[in-house]
Amino acid sequence: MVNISVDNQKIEVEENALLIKVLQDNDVEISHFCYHEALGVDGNCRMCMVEIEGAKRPQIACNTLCKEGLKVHTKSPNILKVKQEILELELINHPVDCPVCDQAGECSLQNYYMDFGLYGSRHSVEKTKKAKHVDLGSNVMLDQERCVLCARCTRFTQNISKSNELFIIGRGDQARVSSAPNKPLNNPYAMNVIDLCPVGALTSKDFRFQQRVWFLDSVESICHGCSKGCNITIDHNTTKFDNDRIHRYRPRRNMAINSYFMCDEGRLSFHKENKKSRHFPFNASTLRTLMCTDESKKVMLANASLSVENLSILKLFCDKYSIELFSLPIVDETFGDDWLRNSVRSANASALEFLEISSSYEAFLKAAQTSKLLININHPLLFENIESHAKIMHFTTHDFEDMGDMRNIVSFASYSHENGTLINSDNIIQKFSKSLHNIHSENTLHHIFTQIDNTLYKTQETLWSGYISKQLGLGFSDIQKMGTKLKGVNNA
Amino acid sequence: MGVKVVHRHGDTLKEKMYLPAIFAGMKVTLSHFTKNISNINDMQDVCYPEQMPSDITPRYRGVHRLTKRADDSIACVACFMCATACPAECINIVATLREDNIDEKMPQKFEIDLLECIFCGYCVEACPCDAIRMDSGIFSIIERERKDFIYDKEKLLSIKGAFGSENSHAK
Ligand code: SF4
Ligand code: SF4
Ligand code: SF4
Ligand code: SF4
Ligand code: FES
Repeated sequence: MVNISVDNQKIEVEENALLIKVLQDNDVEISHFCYHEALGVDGNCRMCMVEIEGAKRPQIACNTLCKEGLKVHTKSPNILKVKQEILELELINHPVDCPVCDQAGECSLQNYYMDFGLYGSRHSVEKTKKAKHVDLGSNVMLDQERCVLCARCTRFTQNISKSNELFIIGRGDQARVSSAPNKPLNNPYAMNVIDLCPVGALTSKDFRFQQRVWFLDSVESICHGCSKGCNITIDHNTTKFDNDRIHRYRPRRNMAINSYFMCDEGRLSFHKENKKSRHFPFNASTLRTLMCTDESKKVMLANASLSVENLSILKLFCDKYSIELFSLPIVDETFGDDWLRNSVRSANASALEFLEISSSYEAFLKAAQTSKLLININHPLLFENIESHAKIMHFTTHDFEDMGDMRNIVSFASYSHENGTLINSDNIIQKFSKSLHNIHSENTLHHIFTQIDNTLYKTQETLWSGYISKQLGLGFSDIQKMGTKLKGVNNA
Repeated sequence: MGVKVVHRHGDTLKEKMYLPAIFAGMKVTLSHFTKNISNINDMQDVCYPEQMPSDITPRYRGVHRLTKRADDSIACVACFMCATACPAECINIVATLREDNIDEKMPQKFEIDLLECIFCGYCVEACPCDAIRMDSGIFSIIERERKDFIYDKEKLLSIKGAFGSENSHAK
């Protein structure tokens, strides 16, 4: 450990720690374009200049290692002037089309101009023209004029996705990002370059022109696309004449799971959440007669993406009324890879073992053969026809094809309408929060089943303290912000 | 993020005391009052609506209109600045890609609910493209149904400026 001082504040840091990281970790604002924790140092933008006592010239914080007695100034008048000049250089050929730029409101260039710029333009010749809308593929649109050439996107495709689609070509004011002819951006993680781009040069075709970012409400959640459980931010809002809708998912930093990234399929999975679905209200007494009083054999099949809370309430319900409960995780071998994407596409598949829910396909088929009633909790298997003479009662979050007799359908709130927890493929339990408020929000699965049997745990808190914490071996309040690793089932 | 500090008026001692300004206002009111009461037959008024006011100035905030560029295309780029500034939240914009190579973005829908509008003019001030103006000179709006008070893009584009300057002055 060594002692350094930043703006006259003493900080103790690891020897040879990267100065810019130290500043970020200690909440000292340090402007930068090219440095990114996941991409490493490139040192091309010079926006991170700091003054170091004893050094002749300003130094870049992203390439300075911390040594004993280092004295750093980030806000001295000299540095502010240097930053203003770098910014002026950066903006010489910038089109300043913030009104039509989707990045406006969350753009580093805009923010830094407000922080250090505020100069009048001294530019008197024509700005260099470059291509303004290049469709790079994979939903990514490039505006070469807005680019600050930080090379984050190219470094992502070189070092992280290793697909090498993007390059910076040309020199001087002709330098620009481009892909090779007929080689579009094409990898399952391509849209991450949109988040990496500090300015509006790379924007998402999917989100383009949909909303201005300052109208969005952000909620921390977990992607339900597969069992990896990437941390995300759900951006949603209610507009004047439209219901609450999700406009985008963005990955949220969690170094233990997804670092800064997520796959494109997960990112676009919000469209399913947004799908308009009819509302099928439930009648508690009819459902009670159907599921609780009848003595004949009943089987329930639950989707393994349901939250720990919902699976628990189903488990308690089924145990009480001797309904055989199964949950079959959906596996897609073509989906998985050696980074984030996991072949198990059910977000909460790991919870089944903790909650002692059977996931045997054969056992389910066998039970379904002889059962009089099949209760389907949003499992795609039963939306298609399976061979069984039983009556099927559907609980569904979204309309499905071939809905048949609508009297046997109850709709319930999908994950973005409620709080919950998920256990990912590495047995890390994480919380997600409610974002959407609309007609479906009331009818959570928990609400429906506690209406059918009101002796069940009424709230998530009592459910946790009475049941889940015993199954998992930890309480709700023990779950850390970035998730908590559970011990295996046997030592729980 | 940095904040651009705009100088506000009203910080001198005289302005802070309020009273001088109030008396100045009362003086104007009283002078009109005495003038009118002493000469009741020559009071300045108009028999609206038979008689229309003739003193509408270019600064008068009438019904909004959307301006056009010199090439007769819509000037608005659907940046939502007006909708952001609007205190009544009565502007509803749906943006779309602009295909004509003049710009990138334009409104697919642009609606102002004139029943909600308080005619403050903030939208006009906020617009970076001089695309929305209130210089139509129209001060009275009559419709048969509530929904007709929601003026859409076509309607707003069809309203003409009343004071000579028709097109957007934005560069
Ligand atoms: S497109 Fe964005 S991320 Fe790529 S170099 Fe330009 S500014 Fe950086
Ligand atoms: S890897 Fe899985 S969890 Fe992560 S974003 Fe993709 S689908 Fe979602
Ligand atoms: S005049 Fe004021 S209230 Fe009316 S649309 Fe403009 S900003 Fe909104
Ligand atoms: S009228 Fe002006 S402020 Fe409103 S969206 Fe159009 S360009 Fe933007
Ligand atoms: S962040 Fe240090 S040079 Fe770009």
